[in-house]
Amino acid sequence: MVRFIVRRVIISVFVLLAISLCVYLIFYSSTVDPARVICGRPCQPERLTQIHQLMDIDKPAFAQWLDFVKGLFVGRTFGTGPSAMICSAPCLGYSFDLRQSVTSLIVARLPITASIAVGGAVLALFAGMASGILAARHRNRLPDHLVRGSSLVLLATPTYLLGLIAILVFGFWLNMVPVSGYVPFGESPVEWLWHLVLPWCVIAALSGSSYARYARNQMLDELGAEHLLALRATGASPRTVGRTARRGVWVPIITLFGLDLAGLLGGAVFTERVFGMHGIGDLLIDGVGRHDLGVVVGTALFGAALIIAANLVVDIAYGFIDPRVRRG
Amino acid sequence: MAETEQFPLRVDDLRVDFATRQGTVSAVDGVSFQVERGHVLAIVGESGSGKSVTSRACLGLIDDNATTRGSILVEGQDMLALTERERNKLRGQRISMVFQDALAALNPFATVGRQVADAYRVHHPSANRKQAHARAVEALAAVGVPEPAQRAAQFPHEFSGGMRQRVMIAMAIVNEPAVLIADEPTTALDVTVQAQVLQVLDELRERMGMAMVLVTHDLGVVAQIADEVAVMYCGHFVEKGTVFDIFDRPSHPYTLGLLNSTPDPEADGKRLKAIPGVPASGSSRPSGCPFHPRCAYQPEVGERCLVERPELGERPGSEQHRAACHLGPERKLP
Repeated sequence: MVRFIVRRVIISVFVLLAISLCVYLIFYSSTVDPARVICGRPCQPERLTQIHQLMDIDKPAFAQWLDFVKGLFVGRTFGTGPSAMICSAPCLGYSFDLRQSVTSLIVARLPITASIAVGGAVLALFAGMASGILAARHRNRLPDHLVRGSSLVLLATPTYLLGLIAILVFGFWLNMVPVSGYVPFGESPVEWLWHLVLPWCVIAALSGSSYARYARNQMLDELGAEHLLALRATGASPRTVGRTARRGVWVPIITLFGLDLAGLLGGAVFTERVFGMHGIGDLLIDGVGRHDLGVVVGTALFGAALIIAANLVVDIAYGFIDPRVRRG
Repeated sequence: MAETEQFPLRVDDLRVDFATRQGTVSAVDGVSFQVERGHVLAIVGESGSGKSVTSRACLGLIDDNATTRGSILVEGQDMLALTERERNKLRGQRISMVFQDALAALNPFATVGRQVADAYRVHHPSANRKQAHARAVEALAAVGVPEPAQRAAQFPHEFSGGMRQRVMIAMAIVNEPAVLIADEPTTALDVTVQAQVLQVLDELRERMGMAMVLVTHDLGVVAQIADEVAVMYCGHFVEKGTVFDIFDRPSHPYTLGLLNSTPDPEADGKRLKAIPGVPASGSSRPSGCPFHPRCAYQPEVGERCLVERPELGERPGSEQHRAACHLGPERKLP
C-alpha cells in the first residue's frame, strides 16, 4: 500500500510538470505580447525590452518554463532594488497587472470557491444518491420516470442558463434570496449561507443529475447481482439486502464525487460569474481577458493539481473499501 | 415418520410465467416432485429448460415480473402462500441454496468468515459476534476448508474456485437446513475439484440427513450422487425415475439423446451423438410434444406428436419410473 502511494505521488508530480509545460506552450504561442499590454500607449521599444526582462519573458519558452518550475520550489524575484517584486515559494507565477503573486491571489479567493464547491458537491452527492436509489427501487414507475426525465433535462441545461433562471425566479420574482455577491463566513454566517443557497442548488441540480442516473443504474445492477440473490437466499431481511446493495453503489459514486469536487475547487467558472462571486474561476476568466500569462498558467495548474490529488485520494480510498484492490 | 418429516420438500404442479414485452413466457409448466430425507434428486436438462427457475422458485426467489402458481411445501409450509417475512424465516434456515458461481455469489467486500457468520446470525439473533464467528469456523471446517480459523479472515478473491464453492456450501449449511438446493454447484470448477466438492455435498447430506436437489446438465455428476433423476425439457419433466431407471432404461428420446451425448470411457472409439436442433424455449414452444422437432422417433408415432402433449406415464423399471412420450411403455429405446 505504501509503495503504491509513493509510486502514485511520483507519477503525479511528473504529470503536473507536463501539464504546466503544455499550458505554458499554448499561451506562449499566443500572438499577444503580455508585455505590450502592460507597457501602455505609446510604447517605446526600449521600455518594451525592459518589461520583457522584468517579466523574464525574453528567453525561449522552455527556459521560461524552467524558471517557472524553479519558482515553484524556491520562489522568484522579479526586478531588483526596492521596487523588486517578490514571489515566494510556491510561486505559481506573478501577475504584473495586479501586482500580486498568483499564489496569494488564489489563496485570497479560495474561501469563496471552496464555499461554493464543497457545499454544492455535497448537496449534489446526497440529492443524486437519494433520487437515484429511489428511482431504482421504483423501476419503470412514476418516481423513476420523474428522476430520469428531470435529470436528462438538467444534464442538457447549461450552468449559466439554469443559474440565470434561478436568479430570476428565486431572486427577483419570489425575492427569497440575494441575487448576487458573497459574504465571508467570518463576517456573518447567516448571510454567508443565504448568499450560497442558490449557487449550491444550481450545482446540486446539475452534478446531482449525473449522480442520480449513475446511482440508479448501479443500484439496479447491484440488486440484480448474484451475491445479493445469495444474500436473500440466507434469509437476510430486506433492510440488510438494501444496505448491502447501497454499499455497492457508494463505491463508484465516491469516485465521481472526488473528481467533481476537485473540478469545482479549481474554479466554478460559470457559477461564479452568474452569481457575481469572485472566486478562482472568476480570476481565471479575468486573467484570460487581460492576457495575464501568470494568472492563467497558475490557476490552470492549480486546478490540474487538485484533480490529480483527488484521483490519488480516490484511488487510495478504493484500496480501503475494496479488498481486491488493496492486495492487488 | 410424519409425511412432512420424511419428505421435507414437496413441489406440486409448479408453474412459473414471466411477463415480457412479447407476452407471457412460461419457464416452468406443471412440475411436481418430492425429495426424501437424505436423498438426492437430480434435475437434468439443457440451459433454458427451466431447471434454474425451478430451483429458485423453491426458495421463493423469483423476480417480480413472474407469476408463480402451484405449491412448494418446505416441511409442510407452502413457500408460495407465505408472506415475504415468513419466507425469510425459512430461507437459509430450513431450505438453503448453493449457487453456481461462488465468486459472483459471495460479497467481494466482506471476509468469508463474516459472511458465514452473518448467515448464522440472521436466524440466531441472540448469538453474539464471537459465537457466530465460532460457528462460522465450525461450518468452514465441516466443508473441508483447511485452517478454517485463519482462512475465515480472508476475502473471497483469496480463495481458489473449489475452496470458494466450499465457503458457499458452508454458508448454506451453517443453520443445518432440511433441504439443500444446489444449482450447478460444480459447473464452474475443474474436473478434479468437481469430484471433491461433490463428495463434500454428499457427506453433508448423509451426516445431516438433508434432502438435496441437485440441478445440473452433467450426467456424470448425476451418476455419482443422485438417487432419483428428473429430466427437464422446455419447462416440463419429460422423464423421471431412479438413477438406475434413467441410465439403464431411458424411456424418453430426449433422455437417450442426453446419454448418447455424454462421453462413456467404456464405449471405445464410438462417436458422441449430439441431439440435432436447438432446445425449444418458453417463448418459442412447439405444438404438441415440445421435443418433436428434434426427435428421431417422431416419424414412428406420426401426427400425434405434433398435436398432443404426452403426459407422464408409467414405465418399466422402478415404481417411480415415468416418461412423457407417445411411444408408450412397451417400446424399448436402444
